Amino acid sequence: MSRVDNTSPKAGDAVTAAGLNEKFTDIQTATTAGLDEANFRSEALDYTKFPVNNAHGKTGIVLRDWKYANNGVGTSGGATYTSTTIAGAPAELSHGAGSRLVWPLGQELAANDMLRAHFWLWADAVGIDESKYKVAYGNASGNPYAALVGIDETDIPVWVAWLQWDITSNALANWTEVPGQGDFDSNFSSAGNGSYCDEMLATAVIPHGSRYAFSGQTYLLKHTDLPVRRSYNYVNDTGSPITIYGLRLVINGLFHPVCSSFTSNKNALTKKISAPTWDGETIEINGVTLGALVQRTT
Amino acid sequence: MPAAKFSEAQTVNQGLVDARGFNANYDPLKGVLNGGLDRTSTEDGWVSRTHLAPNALHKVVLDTSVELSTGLQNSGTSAFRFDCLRYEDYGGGWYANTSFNVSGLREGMLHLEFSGLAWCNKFYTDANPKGFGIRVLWNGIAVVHTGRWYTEWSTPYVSADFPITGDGTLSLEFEFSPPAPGTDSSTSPQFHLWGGHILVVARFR
Repeated sequence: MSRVDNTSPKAGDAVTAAGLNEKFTDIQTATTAGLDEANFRSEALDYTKFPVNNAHGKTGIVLRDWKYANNGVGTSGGATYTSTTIAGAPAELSHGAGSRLVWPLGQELAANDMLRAHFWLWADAVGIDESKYKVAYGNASGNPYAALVGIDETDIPVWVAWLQWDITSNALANWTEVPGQGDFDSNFSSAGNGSYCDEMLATAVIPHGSRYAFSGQTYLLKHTDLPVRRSYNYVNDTGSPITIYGLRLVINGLFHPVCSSFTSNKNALTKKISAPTWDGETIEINGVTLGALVQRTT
Repeated sequence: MPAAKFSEAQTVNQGLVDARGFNANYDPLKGVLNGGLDRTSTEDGWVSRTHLAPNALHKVVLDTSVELSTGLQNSGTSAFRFDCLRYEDYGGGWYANTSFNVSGLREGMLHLEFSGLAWCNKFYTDANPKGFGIRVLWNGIAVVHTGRWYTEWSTPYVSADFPITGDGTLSLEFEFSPPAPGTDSSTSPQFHLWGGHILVVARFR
């Protein structure tokens, strides 16, 4: 607190040079790196008092940094991904010339800072083995795959895309899942590999198709130009700063829902590994956009 | 900050120093320093993060555990399905799935986002083209109200920005197609919502 509290001379007091000079010294003391909330009146801080940057707005008061990347592909002509039943690393979603989000010098995510990521993409799920899915409504006879999609409701499988980051170095050789996100590669024994549903905070699900019924027949609807959008938010509650060097998207498939003793009776998405399987099917992922903000939460 | 005005009893060389005159010039300066500095007193662009108290400008609340209410996850275990909503427990209409209070707010603008994952049972679509909708309420008033998603797998995302006057209660609700009589099982899995998070960023006036 830097108030100037001194006694004003009164009529009749002896006034000396030292006494008057001391009055001004009191002001000098208070104004030398000492002004604080006690010195400013209400609404003393206006917009112009905050540092502004018309180029990017990153003053560090709330927003610390932001980045954006787009693979330059529209709604067609993107990369094709093939499904498997085996365990293993996912494929990176092509980011084209725009590449991933990269911070060559690292971006600090201080304690209690928040990472806000948004991504969206266009999907064409046209590489479908229809023989696995066509079934007469309520009539499974004559269909070798009736046990898969039969009169007992079973789901069309799904692709999953999710976020990874590299918090090791700008060599970008150590990608790991962002907090709250599984790698879809946990082994659930006979249920196949996948992740629990409570490990999908940065996951987007991309349907391989949708069922619909008409006049007693069940059909598989193939999705084209399907937009998918997801956001992910993480507050660094570790108590220590994290340095982010990169963010990227990856994809894997095909998965189906399960809740069994193999998944500890918890909901999960796993790859079906018993015949007939869902390997060898494809999806085309087109325009991919990834953006991120790093901001303070207090 | 007022300029010093030596309008009376300015101290001059070899002049008599008068207490009243001195105080008339000195006391206004002291008064301004003691709680009177305003926006005209300081230069532009000097305020940095270190000069601001926590939550002086905004407040953030993040809920990363949004999923279908556990009370509705009753369809049972299965090798090819979720344990999720069934018609025996839900017959249609808006269901308040997630609700929490947001405190420490002041007048300003509130930005909210919900992003999650969803699955719908599309088997009996001839009789029942099943889909779901999302709405978010602030103090009981819907600030976001979507149409329906009809794909078997969906990644719903909604956001809204609206003025606030202070603390409030946020509620996330969903609605799912009611059962088609005679075709939909009351015990089969119908709808699941998981992997969701709600972000609130309140910017103060």
